Amino acid sequence: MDDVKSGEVIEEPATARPRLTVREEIVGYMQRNPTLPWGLWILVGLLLFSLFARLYVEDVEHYRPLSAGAFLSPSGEYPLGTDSHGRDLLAVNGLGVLNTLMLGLLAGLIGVGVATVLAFMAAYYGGWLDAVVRLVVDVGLTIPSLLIMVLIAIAVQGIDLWMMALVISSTSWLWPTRTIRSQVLTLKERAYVEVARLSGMRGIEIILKELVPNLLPFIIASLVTTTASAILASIGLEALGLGPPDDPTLGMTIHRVITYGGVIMGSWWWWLAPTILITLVFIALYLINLGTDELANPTLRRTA
Amino acid sequence: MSVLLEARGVTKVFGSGLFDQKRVVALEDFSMSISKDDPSIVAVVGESGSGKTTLARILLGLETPTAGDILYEGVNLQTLSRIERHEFRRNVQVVFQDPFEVYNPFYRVDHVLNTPIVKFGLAKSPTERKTLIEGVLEAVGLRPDEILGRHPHQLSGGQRQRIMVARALLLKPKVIIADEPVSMIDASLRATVLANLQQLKEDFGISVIYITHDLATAFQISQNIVVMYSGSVTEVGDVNRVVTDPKHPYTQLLIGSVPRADPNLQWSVDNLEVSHDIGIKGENYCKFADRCPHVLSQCVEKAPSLYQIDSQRGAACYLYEDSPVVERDAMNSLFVNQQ
Amino acid sequence: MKPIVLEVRNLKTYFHTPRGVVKAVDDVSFDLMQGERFGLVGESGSGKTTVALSLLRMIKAPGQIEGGQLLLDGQDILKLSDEEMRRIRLAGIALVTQGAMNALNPVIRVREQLIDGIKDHDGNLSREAMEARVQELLSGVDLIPQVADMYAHQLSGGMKQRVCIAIGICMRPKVIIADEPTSALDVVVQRRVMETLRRAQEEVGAAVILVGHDMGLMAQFVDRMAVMYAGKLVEVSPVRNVFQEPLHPYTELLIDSVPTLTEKDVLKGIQGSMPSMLGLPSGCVFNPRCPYSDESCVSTLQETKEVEAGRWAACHKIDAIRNLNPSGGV
Repeated sequence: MDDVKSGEVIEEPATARPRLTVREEIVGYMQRNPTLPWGLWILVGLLLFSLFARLYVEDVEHYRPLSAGAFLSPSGEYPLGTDSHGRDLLAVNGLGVLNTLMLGLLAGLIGVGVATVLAFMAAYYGGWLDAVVRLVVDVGLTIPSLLIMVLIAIAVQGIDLWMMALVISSTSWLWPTRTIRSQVLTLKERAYVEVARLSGMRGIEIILKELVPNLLPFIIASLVTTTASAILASIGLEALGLGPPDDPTLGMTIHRVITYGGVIMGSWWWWLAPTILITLVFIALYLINLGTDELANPTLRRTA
Repeated sequence: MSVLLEARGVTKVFGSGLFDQKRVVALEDFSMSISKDDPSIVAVVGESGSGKTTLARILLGLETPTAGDILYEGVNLQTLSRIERHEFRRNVQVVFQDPFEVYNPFYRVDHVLNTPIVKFGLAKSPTERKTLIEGVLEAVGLRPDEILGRHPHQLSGGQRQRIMVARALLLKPKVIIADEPVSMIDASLRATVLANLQQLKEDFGISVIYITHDLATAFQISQNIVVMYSGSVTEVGDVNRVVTDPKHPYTQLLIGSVPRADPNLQWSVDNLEVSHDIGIKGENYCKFADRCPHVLSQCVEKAPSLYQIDSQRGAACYLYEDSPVVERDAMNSLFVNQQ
Repeated sequence: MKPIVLEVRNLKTYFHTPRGVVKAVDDVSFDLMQGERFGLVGESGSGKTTVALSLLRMIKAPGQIEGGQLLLDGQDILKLSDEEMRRIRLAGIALVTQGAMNALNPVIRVREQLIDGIKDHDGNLSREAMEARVQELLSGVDLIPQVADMYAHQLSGGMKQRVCIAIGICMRPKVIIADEPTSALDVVVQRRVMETLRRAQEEVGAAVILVGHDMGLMAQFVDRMAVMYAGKLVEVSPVRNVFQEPLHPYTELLIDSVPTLTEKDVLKGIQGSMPSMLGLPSGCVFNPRCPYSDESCVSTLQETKEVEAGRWAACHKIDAIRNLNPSGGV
């Protein structure tokens, strides 16, 4: 406005309160956002289940076919029964939970890793780099990611867990690139960045020293959401049969239930366990997602 | 006078230029030079839209002029080599307005002092660095033990701003551009920061360009003043004369509107401002014309030149057209000399 | 003596934070006479805005009004129900805030904003009567009738502030609280807006409490002034007395720190800074920064006492200080 002075804000006086230790910060955060610890506890529970499964089965390799008789209902030896091909379902589910989670985490890390680098470079340097990144991201996001992933999965021969992670990373980097880029765009206009520049700092140094530390909470929140959606995407792809055929995962189990008539055969144990496990994973991810909202947006800070 | 930093005919236009409404001429044909050997404090005073902040940013090289040049040691800023630019950054420093935003919340305040030392190689060892930092903090009247190791939110606005002055001092620049350094600080803390700026000139021979909307502080610490309105210089010269006996109608309005901290000096009730519709043709006219109680017909046809009213005073107003014309790039000749 | 329209008695507003109790307003008392212009001056953290919000009972958790009385025309508004208080706001006590930029609703026209205020209290007016009132209000604050059709973003800062003043006076309140109404405006616009406020207030017959930190503005606008520091009221005096002979050391130093346009002085600030509200010094809250303090200042809590007719101050050393400076003031 033409007659308004810029920023006549009188700020708060000094309150010499001590800086909280990292531990206190974390505890405080958990108290304000209880869904985070709840979600984490569920994940811990799932991991404990995985550990229990490993210890209980006679041989971890029993996740493979022909380890036991087919369609056996639950018993002492096979608490979760077996499937159409004689896989010990306790082993399958136990390892499956672990694999599904690790897969998602890996895809999340790759996705956010790529996104962070691209977002910072594009936002800070602008110009053609920014234009290209923005174009690719904008176009990429309009195409349903499932479609892209399906196409890639079909094209790739011999999918294993690592390939699965890469397939999912192929699209999981798009959204975080966009959001991290917007955050960097706002930050780079801050006065302290100008001060750094006037103090002789150059591009990369400013990115690493001034911008990244301030965006760490946001990047972590981004990692959480990306991992969550990667896990869900993997389950989805696998349910369609596009997952690793030889490694046990929850989604592939669901796929086999459908393909090999698990419902018709009345083998409730076959679909019940993975369904419960997947549901628990969904709930855990949702709670964790809710709990990391404040990291992404500190203004949402709830009072304890 | 050897010149350190010079603005020559600087014009800055914002906006696409395609649609007339969006085209904003923030600064028009501005020229001023800062001497190397003659430290002084020059106040650039104006309200919002005057162009003073744009000027600050252009002088610092944070924005590029649409027309005209900024010359550092005779070389155009845009063509400085890496090394020359480094030198420029060292000799032309800044104190910004917002004492909070200038600190990266992730770091303690030490960061803002350490960075320039490291980048400009001012200290050869950690001990030397420590001595240097403590020295400049004490020079601005701060106690190092109360400041170092703290986070910005633990200090008052006044302290934060003084740290910024200390930071500027570290580099021993030749000129400091202070853009509204105290407008966001409490009244009782302003004086110390301003006293620090004065000290910089007195004790360290550093020139200060003090950019502000606050006439009173400008009057108190500067020797020369440049009054700006809507991108152009309206009055310039010895701050004592300009403030006690303003000649340009805008300066008169400005001074008449300042609320004096003395109930016996009420706001002047003279008719210092009017509002009339004047037919504006083109872009060359006196920007104050539509508010000026003394408007003449030539005010809307052509922008007035700077007329020299006496040895240390000039006003860009046709009321003084009988006085000799001062070319814009010779504006400095109207300044008071220090030594 | 004009009748007293607002009596503030021992107002206490505390904020209960996880780190302790912040006594943002601690035992503040003053009277407001009908039609007078009263200034409430303090720096950031002094509690002046909290006082303003307390008078309107707009304090939100974790703050609350812990005690005291607010007598508006004899009636204690702290005892009113929420609904009754809602009716008092705007009709009895109106608020004109700072940052006029954010106070106006961006998606409705000025006319609707004014009508909103009127309708809330006086819903029975006919369309024509409302429109007439809108035009009356706009001209009362020096705005042309066309402004009624505009949106907030089409107005300059000064115009927006004047619309806020118009909203403030639309129900002809007894008290107008203007909280830093011009702090974001240029000095030329500020003067016009303050003159508008004065005219509007005189026309309506309301008293104004001007909350701010600009001593110059106070000198130009108010009749009496109260100075706050760290939640306490340290001085109340007629404005001429304050500037000629400030009673409290803080007032004296504050006035000294205001740069003038008349002669060049040595710039003086107040050394130190306002204490953290969580760790106030014992005794007089200003003693660490006071040039006149001694041990008695650390051990004795200060009370605001009437030092002479119409002048209150919270300092037990006033006579001693006066003896040091026989000419009065510094």
